[in-house]
Amino acid sequence: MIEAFQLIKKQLSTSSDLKKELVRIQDIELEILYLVSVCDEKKIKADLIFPILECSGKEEFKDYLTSLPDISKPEKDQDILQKLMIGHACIQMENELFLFNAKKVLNNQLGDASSETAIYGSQRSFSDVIDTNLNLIRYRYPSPNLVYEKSKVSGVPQTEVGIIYDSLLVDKGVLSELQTQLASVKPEVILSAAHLQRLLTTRKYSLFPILMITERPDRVVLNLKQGKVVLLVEGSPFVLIAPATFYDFISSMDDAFEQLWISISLVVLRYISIFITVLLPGIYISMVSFNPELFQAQLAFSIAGSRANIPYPSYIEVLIMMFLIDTLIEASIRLPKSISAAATTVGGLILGQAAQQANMVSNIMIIVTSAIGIANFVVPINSMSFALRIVKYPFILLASLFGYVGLIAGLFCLIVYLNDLKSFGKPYLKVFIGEHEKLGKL
Amino acid sequence: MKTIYLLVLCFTMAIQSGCAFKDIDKRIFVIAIGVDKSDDINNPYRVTLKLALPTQKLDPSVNNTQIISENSKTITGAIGRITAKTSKDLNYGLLEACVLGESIVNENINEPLNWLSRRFDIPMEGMVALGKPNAETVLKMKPRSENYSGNALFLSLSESGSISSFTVPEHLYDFYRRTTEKGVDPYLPVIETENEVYKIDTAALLDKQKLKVILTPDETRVFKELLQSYPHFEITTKMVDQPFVLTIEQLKSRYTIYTHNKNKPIIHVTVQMRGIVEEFVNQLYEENWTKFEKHVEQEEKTKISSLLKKLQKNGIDPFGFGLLYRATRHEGDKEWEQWQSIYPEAIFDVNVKVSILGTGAIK
Repeated sequence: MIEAFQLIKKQLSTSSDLKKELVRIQDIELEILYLVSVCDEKKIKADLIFPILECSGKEEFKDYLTSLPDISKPEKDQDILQKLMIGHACIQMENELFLFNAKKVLNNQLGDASSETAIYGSQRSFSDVIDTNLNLIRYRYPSPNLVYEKSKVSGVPQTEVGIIYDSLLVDKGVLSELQTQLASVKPEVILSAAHLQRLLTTRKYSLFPILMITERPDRVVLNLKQGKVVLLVEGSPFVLIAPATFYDFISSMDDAFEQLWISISLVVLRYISIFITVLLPGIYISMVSFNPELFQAQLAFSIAGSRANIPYPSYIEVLIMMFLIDTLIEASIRLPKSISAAATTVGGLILGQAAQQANMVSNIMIIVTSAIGIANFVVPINSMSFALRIVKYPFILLASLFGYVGLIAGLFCLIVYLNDLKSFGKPYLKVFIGEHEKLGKL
Repeated sequence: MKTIYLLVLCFTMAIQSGCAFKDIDKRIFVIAIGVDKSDDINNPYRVTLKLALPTQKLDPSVNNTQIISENSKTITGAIGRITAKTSKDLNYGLLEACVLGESIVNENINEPLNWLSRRFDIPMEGMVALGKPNAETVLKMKPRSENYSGNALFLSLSESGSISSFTVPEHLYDFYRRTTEKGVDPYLPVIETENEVYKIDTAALLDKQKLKVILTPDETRVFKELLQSYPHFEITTKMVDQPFVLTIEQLKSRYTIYTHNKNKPIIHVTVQMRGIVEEFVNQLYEENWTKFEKHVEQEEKTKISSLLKKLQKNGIDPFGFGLLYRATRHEGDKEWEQWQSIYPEAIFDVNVKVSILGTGAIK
């Protein structure tokens, strides 16, 4: 043990934030080793140094030390180094080693729920710190059955990952599968919850998210009640929920709060929007280039008139507009907030007016494009919204090759693919039909 | 890598698109088709197509239709020649009206109808009419009220626009069904041109092959009221030397065939009407309405009976009494033979019940 202490001292000696303190008061002699950047020095002083003055002797201080709630004894040498890195102080006293938890947490402020807003739900999102997040969940879900398991992914350094579930409601199969998968994750560092989500996805070519990612404490509590498992990742204001079904990504937290008919209509609206955002470009191509008789006569004549000056076939027209709208969306996400408003205005003007006046696209294509964009924004969870943005491109290809037949075949394949997907052993496309009593449990 | 090659291949295929891929601006829409008998004996069919020219803005004052006519031995041949005259691909998807010239209806409608029903791209829900004096004149006329090409013709023939008690709308699918079904005969509205308007106030009745009789406007009104239980008509009579007009709001008609007496088959026609007084100079709220009702009933009864007798005399059956007979007897194919002997002998027993719902005026 003591050799280990010396070894650590040596290994960390190049770090400037390593602090070694030798305390010698009366007959008490101890050496404290900690990283200034992650430890709360005030706490160390108040809990370790000042009490020495009040103690009459060595024995009394040792009793005091071992009775502190933040003190622990390292089990293995490896433990010491790990703990030092996450804000523990290592104390050497009379050939004995203690670890004292003096974590200094700077980033435990709650942010505003900005990436997943709800009108009546919680206005705050999770913070970057697991303990704060756990605090939020515990207060919202005051059940003795709520289990918090600390877990770590294999490999060094280990990012802390917490598993939370309600031990009465949880599906044991999902839990054990999640634990085994989590143990087999072997990255260097987990950067965020979304990163972990990707690492937990076993399919190589995956498109749809099979874990729910959210920043809302109220959604987490709702899902805990439904018997799902929640993963917290240190340093990420997002949490993961498993298993996830397609329906979860289409539901907003407000659905649970609104009156029945309002929430039903909103869900229906979202499903219609999904079909619009995925199929509308393909439908436009099929209607304009394969089956124009499906238009009303007036519309057919005016589309034919407005397309008369356009030199490109319909799918090139669609691809131009889809490319522009997707770059616009991407640009407005990545740009700093102050510039992104300008980008959308300029982009919107160009897309809306100039492109049509320059005879690059027909005027109905402008409407189609904006309908696709707006319908896409309706999807409440971003990861699903991104997936649906991609899905429309294969449909454009199919529609330009085979028209409606291609679209229908493509839709069939998409549904088959979604049916094949599994989220931790649970069917992904489990929709809200039937199995009422089991629905809550999933 | 293989999948990427495959995708690239697919995309190049899309660029070299074949015949199915044709943008809307490379197609031209046929909105009406007319078939006439031509003067040329070698090329007996004269086909006229009314084509809609695409416009960015719909302007009623601009003439945006094109009329192309061709003679040929067959209808397909004529269409082929018309195709040679157009720069864009003919598309029949928006075909709204088929006008058959009087000359061809007088002779035989089977060939044009056969062509119309065989083409997969001709929508059967389009309207069909008899064009007088010929289909070409009807198609060439552009009414003032037209919003875009072909629109006025369709609105006049169908009931999506004006609903007239003299226009009997007929869809292509129903017309085709009536020419093939035993026991029910086809009819066509007759369309004439008159000073930039279409005049459709008579109906032509056909047997399975050709024209039998053209009804007068008054008979057409009675024909329509019996054909569709769809009251949008007025009954005009005279009461105490004043014109008395009743607007019918509800109508129910019922047919029953009695053949208990072999020598005297009877067809019962029961018509119930309910309406509101629309035009009458005198006050009538205080009076007994029954005498008005009885008077109208009597008038209607004679009109209906005379129409039915006229149809019977011509041996045509657009109301489908024969179909009713076949549907209510169970003797297989023999029924049809029986009916053919029954129909000329049958006696019509017409019952009309009129009730006045209100005077139409506030007391």
